[in-house]
Amino acid sequence: MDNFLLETLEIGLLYSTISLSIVFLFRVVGFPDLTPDGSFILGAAVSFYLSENGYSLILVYTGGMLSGMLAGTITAYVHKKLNVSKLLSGILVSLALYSISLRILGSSNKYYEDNQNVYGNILGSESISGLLILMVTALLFFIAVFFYLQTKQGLLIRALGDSEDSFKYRGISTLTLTIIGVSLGNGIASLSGAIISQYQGFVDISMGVGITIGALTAMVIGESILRPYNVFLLLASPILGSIIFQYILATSLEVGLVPTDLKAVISIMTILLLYLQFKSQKKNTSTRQIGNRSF
Amino acid sequence: MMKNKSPLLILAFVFFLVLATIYILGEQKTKKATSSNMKTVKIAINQFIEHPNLDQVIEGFKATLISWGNSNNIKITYDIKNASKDIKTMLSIVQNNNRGNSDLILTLTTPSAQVTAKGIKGKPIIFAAITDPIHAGLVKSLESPHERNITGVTDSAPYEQQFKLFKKVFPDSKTIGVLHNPGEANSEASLKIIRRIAKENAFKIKEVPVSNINDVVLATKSLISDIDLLYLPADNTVVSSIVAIAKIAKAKKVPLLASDEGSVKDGALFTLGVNYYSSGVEAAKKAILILEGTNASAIHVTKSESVRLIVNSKSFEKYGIPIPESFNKYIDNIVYYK
Repeated sequence: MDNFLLETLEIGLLYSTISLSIVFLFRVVGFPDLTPDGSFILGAAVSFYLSENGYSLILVYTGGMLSGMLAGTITAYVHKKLNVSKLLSGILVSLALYSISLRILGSSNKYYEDNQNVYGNILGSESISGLLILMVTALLFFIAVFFYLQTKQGLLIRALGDSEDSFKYRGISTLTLTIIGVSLGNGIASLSGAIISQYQGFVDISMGVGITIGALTAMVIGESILRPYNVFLLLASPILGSIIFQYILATSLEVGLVPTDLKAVISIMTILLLYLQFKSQKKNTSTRQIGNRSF
Repeated sequence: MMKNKSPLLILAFVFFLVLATIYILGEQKTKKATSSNMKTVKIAINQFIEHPNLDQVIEGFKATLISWGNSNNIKITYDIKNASKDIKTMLSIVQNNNRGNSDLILTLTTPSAQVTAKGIKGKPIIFAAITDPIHAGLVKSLESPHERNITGVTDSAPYEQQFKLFKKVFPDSKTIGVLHNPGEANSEASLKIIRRIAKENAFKIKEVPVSNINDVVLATKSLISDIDLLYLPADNTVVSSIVAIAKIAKAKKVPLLASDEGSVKDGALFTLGVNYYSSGVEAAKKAILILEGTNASAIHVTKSESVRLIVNSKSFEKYGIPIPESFNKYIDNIVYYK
């Protein structure tokens, strides 16, 4: 593949999975969770460990996802039971996960000796099949979350995200729902970590640092374009946003901009998009956007 | 549902504007580089982080290539890209390399080399500033032929020589404190060797792990009263806080030793260091072989053996220690900082 557009699409799709988990956590569950920084690397570490010890691919991915779900459960529990704020409990758990991942890996950088997994042969290959695999992956993530949110439990989680207070007024405990929501969100994040580490062929302990902020930026870019008023668009926006994010990044590189300046470019673009969104919302109050909008 | 079209239009306009700006900025850059009828060679340099040692590698690399280029009437252009610690940016840089017309790729540091080695197709790759390319999965063995079109230069601080010299200069010292970040690949690899060599030289080693720059000061303070010497391995987190560490060590009169040149320049007493400049020179020699037609996979990976003694004479003054006579041995290969 020597095509700028297709290659950029490839990385955009790859990273859309982590953005999807951020939308799930921030918008659907209404939990500004920073655990994904940690669960991303945890998923990569656990799946690497399982893969190196010869477990089957299904176990590798389930193990990766379960590790993140466990992390999310702890975050939700710390918030609910120990009364630590949402942001802080996420930060604390992700800090711990950094150390735990380092233990699991044994050293800070490990590579896949025998990269015989689904994503191992995409980077650097000539064929278009890699792009198709990533499209299917992003689509599967999308479909799974989309249909989950139509189930009774999914609807309850959406209600929780929209208004936690309404649960409190009715005397319904939000503990179980929060745990389910946050753990699922982190499960997606850690599965994404597993996939991305297989794609790049190695796990580096620093790969999770700042991933939440990047994914959040992608989500904001997507939302400012799609203005999601239903679940379909809400879940489509991180995917679109991630692709556009990657497109801005790659274009800047392609025309010779210094990579160290990229962060400023993306930040300025995002602020502009948010400003536009704000202006049009003031003019047009009738299109209410879906999901928790408090952050 | 689309009641108001104007925001979308503005949006498209802004996108266009930003992309256009980026394009123009880039265009100006490329214009500067062209306009010459000499034969040109383009070399892409990928690095993961910003570091003075890496700058020295690049400096040595460029200097060697320039003199080769001048004598062969070849103009060499460079495309240096730094991912500023972001693997996603690194992926984009590699795809950009694939589309670009560079003849050769020099990649510095482990994660950068890993992404480059996996993602690049059809272009020779040279790595440098890497301690253990086998452990990083870049090559199966140091001897050629390699499975991929890749070769490079490794470096590891000359620990054996360092610790022998430490013992010679401070014969009474027993406990040596080491600060390190377990999250850094190179640092961990070097620590394994340090543990063994410290033992061989009859030092008791006291390790304190730190995870970021903020921890370093606290860790140093807690460590400093239990040790005779403080040693800083080639660890980016630790080395970044050298100025603060040097202050604490000096207050307690604990000699501060380091494994890299930059740290000595910034306050440590002395070290025997990797000559990063000369690893750049060695990398450039391999680059020349490749540019003259050798396949990268047929070139051995070599270790940069060049050592220099780096001394900070101002630090010696501050500690009130005379500069040891044993340094005379390195008279031809010594660098003084003041």
